[in-house]
Amino acid sequence: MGVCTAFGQIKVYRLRRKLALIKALEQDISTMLATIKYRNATIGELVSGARESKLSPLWSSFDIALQANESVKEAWQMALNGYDEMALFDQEELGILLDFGENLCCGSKTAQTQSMQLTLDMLKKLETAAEQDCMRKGKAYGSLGMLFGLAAAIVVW
Amino acid sequence: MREWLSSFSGVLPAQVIRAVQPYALDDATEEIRIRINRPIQLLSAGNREQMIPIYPDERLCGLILEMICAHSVYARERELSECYVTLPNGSRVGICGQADETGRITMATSFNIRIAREVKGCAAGLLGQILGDSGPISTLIFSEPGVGKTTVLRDLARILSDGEGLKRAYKVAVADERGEIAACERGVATLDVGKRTDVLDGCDKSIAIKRLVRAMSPEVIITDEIGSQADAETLADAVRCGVCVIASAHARDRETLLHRPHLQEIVYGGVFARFIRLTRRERKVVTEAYGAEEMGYDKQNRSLYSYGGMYRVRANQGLQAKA
Repeated sequence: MGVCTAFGQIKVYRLRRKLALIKALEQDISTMLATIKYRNATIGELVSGARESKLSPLWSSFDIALQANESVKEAWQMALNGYDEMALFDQEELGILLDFGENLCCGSKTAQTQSMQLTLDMLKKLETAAEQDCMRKGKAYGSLGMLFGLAAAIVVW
Repeated sequence: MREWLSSFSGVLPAQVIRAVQPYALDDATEEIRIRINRPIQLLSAGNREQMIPIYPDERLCGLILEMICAHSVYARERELSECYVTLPNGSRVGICGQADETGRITMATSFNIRIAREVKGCAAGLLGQILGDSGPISTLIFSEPGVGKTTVLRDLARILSDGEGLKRAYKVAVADERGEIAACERGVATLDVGKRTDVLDGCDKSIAIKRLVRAMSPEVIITDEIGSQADAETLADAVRCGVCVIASAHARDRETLLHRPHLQEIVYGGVFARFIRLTRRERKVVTEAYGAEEMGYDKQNRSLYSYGGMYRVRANQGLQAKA
């Protein structure tokens, strides 16, 4: 019973982690967007501004890859690949983040801010979906885990 | 590795620096030219050329553009629309390739990296021409591109600001639109422009000069590459305010200087009292100085610093031509 309940709780925990990750990404990107809008900050400055965020390991590895002469697109890909939390996202969701990195080297500030805004809009949708998942599936996984555990205990008994 | 080359590490891709290193044997290199699918070219003083058998591809050119923009191409939009980017070490990279309708480079395929150097003392020989009885006089330094106008301006800023070998030091302001004179990084000059120098970096010089006059009360304003109508008006106004202006312009000789319409207005308007032409012979820079009258400024017909006066003369000239 304990194993099944734990399994259900792990699923719930994963959903919560994903939601927290989306929120952290949203927060960092919106800060970056504001910085670009009001100050012509470079990516290096944006990344160093995000050092204190929850996603600092991601931004640090992005910065390191940039300093190792990688292009922005490749450096971002490397940073995403090296960040374990990204396993919480499916391919489609990862695609949004990959596009974000690819568009970080836009040639104009307008295009840059628009692309960041687009990423934020998409992350907002992901956040809403993840919140609903947490609400519905979270309860379901928790209850199912408990039920399966109970059923297994009855069968074994 | 040569000091000038090491100043490009982190600014140019490592593979470009590795390729250039064996050929960078002295400090005479002035330009690195990189073109897609063509060998890298090193140009030194006296038109000496070395071809490096490295053929940059599209990916490398893209990476060069990204790196010279500190991976933030969007942040250099204004400069890219003028087809150049100034690097943190003060070197200017001219860029060519595919541009959009506004002229902004969207795909770079050619780079001309002009290596900036601090040559301390290179302007000392000009002081005799620039200093009048009551201090420095407004001077225009002109030459063909690549002779060293910016290097001379930078050293003049340093000498006047530090008062090196002078009776006293001056309050100097630099209107550094392209960031080549002081090579500011986040507003801080990375090259030595003197202890008493204020730099307004990245701002259009016609606006920058006005603001510097109002805000910083400079005794000397230094700026480079003048040539537009707005520059002409602003410089005249600054001189009217009693500020000495030292500027540079592209022109091969006196005649070509006067063939550039707005420079002609500046010369005939009496904005500058001294004109210094820089030329390069062998590997040495030679200077020739002219007074305003030698350049065609006529005190009797043209009221000093007055555009009204200048236009009146033009109208007279037009009437004479008709007659």
